[in-house]
Formats: sequence, C-alpha cells, structure tokens
Amino acid sequence: MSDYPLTIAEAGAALRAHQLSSVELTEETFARADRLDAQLGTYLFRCDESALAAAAQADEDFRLGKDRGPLQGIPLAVKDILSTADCPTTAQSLVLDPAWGQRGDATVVARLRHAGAVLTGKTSTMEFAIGLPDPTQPFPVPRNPWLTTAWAGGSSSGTANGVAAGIFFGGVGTDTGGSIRMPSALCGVTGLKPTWGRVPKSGCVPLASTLDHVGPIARTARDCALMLNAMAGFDPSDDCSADVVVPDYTKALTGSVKGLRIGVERDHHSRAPLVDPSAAACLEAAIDTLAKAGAEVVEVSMSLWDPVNEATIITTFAEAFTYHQANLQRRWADYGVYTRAMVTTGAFYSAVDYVQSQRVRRAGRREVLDLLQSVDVIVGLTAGAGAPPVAGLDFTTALTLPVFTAVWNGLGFPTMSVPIGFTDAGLPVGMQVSAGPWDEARVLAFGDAYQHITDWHRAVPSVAVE
Amino acid sequence: MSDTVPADNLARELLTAAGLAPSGDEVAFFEMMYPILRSRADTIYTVEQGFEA
Repeated sequence: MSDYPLTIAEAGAALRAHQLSSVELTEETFARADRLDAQLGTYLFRCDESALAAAAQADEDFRLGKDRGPLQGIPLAVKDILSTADCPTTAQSLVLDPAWGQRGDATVVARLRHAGAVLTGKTSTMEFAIGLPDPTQPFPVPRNPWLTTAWAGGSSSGTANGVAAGIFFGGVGTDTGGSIRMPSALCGVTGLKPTWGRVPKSGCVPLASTLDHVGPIARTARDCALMLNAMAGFDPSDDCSADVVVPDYTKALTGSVKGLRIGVERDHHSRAPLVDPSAAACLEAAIDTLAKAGAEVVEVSMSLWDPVNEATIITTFAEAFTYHQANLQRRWADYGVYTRAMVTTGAFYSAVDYVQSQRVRRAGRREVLDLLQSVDVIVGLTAGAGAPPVAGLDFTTALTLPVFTAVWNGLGFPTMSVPIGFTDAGLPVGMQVSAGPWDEARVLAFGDAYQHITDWHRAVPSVAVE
Repeated sequence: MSDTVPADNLARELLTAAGLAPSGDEVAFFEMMYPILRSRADTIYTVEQGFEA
C-alpha cells in the first residue's frame, strides 16, 4: 500500500474520501505486524477477529452516514496493563490473577471503542510497568525500530515502537515516572502524559496510584489531541478521576508559536552524567527553530527539581510495594528479577519518608505554578541519550539512564514528548513540554505548532519501509 | 535528615520485617543498594521545613 497514511488524521481523511476502507487499513496493519513483530516485540496479544469485525462495522457506519468522529475505523492498540473485553490482560506478568482482566473494558478502552476505534491488540510493557526487559520471562523483549539491538524504552514499549513502525496509528500508554514519554522519545513518536486525574484509570493495573497516568501515544500532537478528546473526562468509578470540564483539544491547535513564552529548563540535563552532547544539541536546535518562528524564549530554573524527583521515586516504590507486598511474600519466584528488585526497595522507606515526599511534591507544585506565571510552557530534554542497547540493561544501568521525566509525575502536570531529531548514532531524541494543571490544550498546541515547522515526527525507520 | 533513618545498613532486617525471603545473591544486592537509596532519599529533607501553611 504505497499511499498508506502515516497519521490518524490522514487515515481518517482517507477513510472519509473512500480512498480505502477500515477493513483494508486494519488488514494492512496486521500485515505489518506479521512482518515486523518478531523483530520488535510489539504485541503480547492480537485481536484480529474482533478488530476486523470492528473495522467492518466502521465501514458500514460510514456507508450509512454514521460518523462517530475522527477515530472511527482507525487501528489503535492498548498497553497490556489495561483490561480489555476481547483479549487477556497480564500486565506482562505471571503473577497477575487472570480474573483481573475479566472485568471487561477499562474505561478508556470503552471510550475508544465508543468513538469507533478499531482496537488491534495488547502491547508489550515491562512487568507491572516497572523493571526492565527480562529475557528469562515468557514475554517478548520490545526493541527499537530505529536500531533493533536497542531497547524501545518503557514501560509503554510496544505502544511506542508499534506507532513508530506503523503497526498501528496510535495507542494507549501509562506513565508513572515517564512510561509514555520515555519510549515515545526513544522511538521518535509523540506521547502525552495528561494532568493527573484527567484520564480515568479504572481497569488499569496500578503501579503507584498517586502517580499513575493514562495517555495517548501517536505520531503527532494532533493525533494525541484526537485520542485525548475521546479518552479524557470524569469517571466516578475512579477515585482519582477529576470532574473538570474537557475542552475540544483540536480547537487549540492554531499551528503557531508566535508570542508564546517558552521557559527552557537546562539545569537538570546540563549537569546530569551520561548526557549525549548530540542529544542536547537537538534541544538547542529545536529552541532556535521555535525562536525563529516567533516564540519568546527565556531560561528558567526549578530549584526543587532534585527533591521532587527523589520524592517521586520514593512515592513510586512505596506505593508499588504496598500493592505487591502480599504477592511478593507468596510468589517471589514468579516475579521477574528486575520487577521484584525494584518494587522491594519500597520496604526501605519509612512512613516519614513517604509523608515528607508528599510535602515536597506540594512544594514543587507551588514553585512551578509560580514559574508558569511568567512563561506559558516549560521545555527540556525527555531523555539525554538515544535508546540504550538491550544487552547489558540491568538495575544499575537503569539507574544511570539520563531520563528527566519523573518530576512531572510528582507534580502531576501535563507533559508531552515530541521528536526533535537524532543523535549522532541515528537514534531519536525527544523534547518534553509541560504546562499547568488541566492545560493539556497548551501542551498539544505547542507540539502541533512545532510539528508544523519541522518534520521529525514524519521520519519512518528503515525497518518499517517495505 | 529524618531522625528515623537508620545509620547502619538494615536491608536484611527490613526484608525480614516485610516478610520477604530473597535468595542470598539478592540479599547481597539489596544490602549494596540500601545505603545508595538511603543517601539519595536524604534529598527530600533538604527542602526547607515549614513550607506548609
């Protein structure tokens, strides 16, 4: 299919112009998966039968003049940490009770189906969205489409590498310390962690409940906006869900950064070890591009970055350990070695540590809210290097990866990673952009405008070129 | 720094208190990681006290 669309928006236009059908589109995505999945480790489960039935229904709806919106007939995938009615849910673990996934569709999955999306399957992650790729477990090791000896990043690994390789047009990820943005950056796609509470988590296996976010990964900011329109909104079945009005995010996409005040935060990556200078150069080039397009660029500093980052790590491990302690006592050997090592460190923190961490997070929110009085968005590197090799990844190397995402989970503010170029080794680099609570529209508008004046988001890895 | 933070490496005792029984190699790993994680955690106590209303 030489005229195969790259984005959700393009695929939607092609469907409405009758240039192709949803069934053709879905068959093509499965053909791509047949060709690439053994190399990339994208899927844990495919739902060919239900997906093709949904695609046929979408085509029939189009024929009858029934249009449920921009996602109708679009193949999307779901990280296997969210329950789905037509596929098992494992959290990529031998430990999760199979009954967990038998509750039917998670709220966001149901919303995407209601919007007419064609859900193609469940994507790979790390066990319980924490840990590292573990070849001793009976699950695929997700690899990077730009260099298949490298990691896809995690934990929304299969969702990000599948979008990059064109195996589907978008997907659902989750993000507790960067698990949407980091793999998006390493695979060269766009991923949004919304404000905490914006997208319901019901039906999502928890990792750390005050830090878990559900959000979209797609090729463009516009596609993320289209997905977020369907995914966001209050859900009374989720105690963390906020009853806040959801705008139409596409209305914010003006395509312009003229007059936008951009705060550039360099402190953290300029003093972090193991940052690749060619990745930092991509950020500087992106900032120059934005300034030339009319943005006002100022340097900003977040004095509480390090304590908020550590508070986020402590909160993650403490909350994860609370969730897993009973199973770790009973089924230690059934957990993967990296997951049980990371989660168990939650036993090393005290109640005082946990409470102080929440106080630090609140102090950090106040500082950044003050900062956002003088700038519209804050930008920085998502990760300071390209994807690391799969071989040699372990707990120690994971701790030294220059990834700058977790702070924004601790703050709970909306943050998106957009592709901004490649390292000298040819691996994708991402820039993360953040705004104040509930202001996903501003983040999406920024990303969309940047993607109007650059084409990094349209780069396709050679493995995906037929 | 919190006065509840133990000065010594108490990883083994904390694992036992949590009802966990890792292998010997894993206990060694946790004993190696414990002081590193505790040292990193000190960062949260550098935030000025009294910042809450």
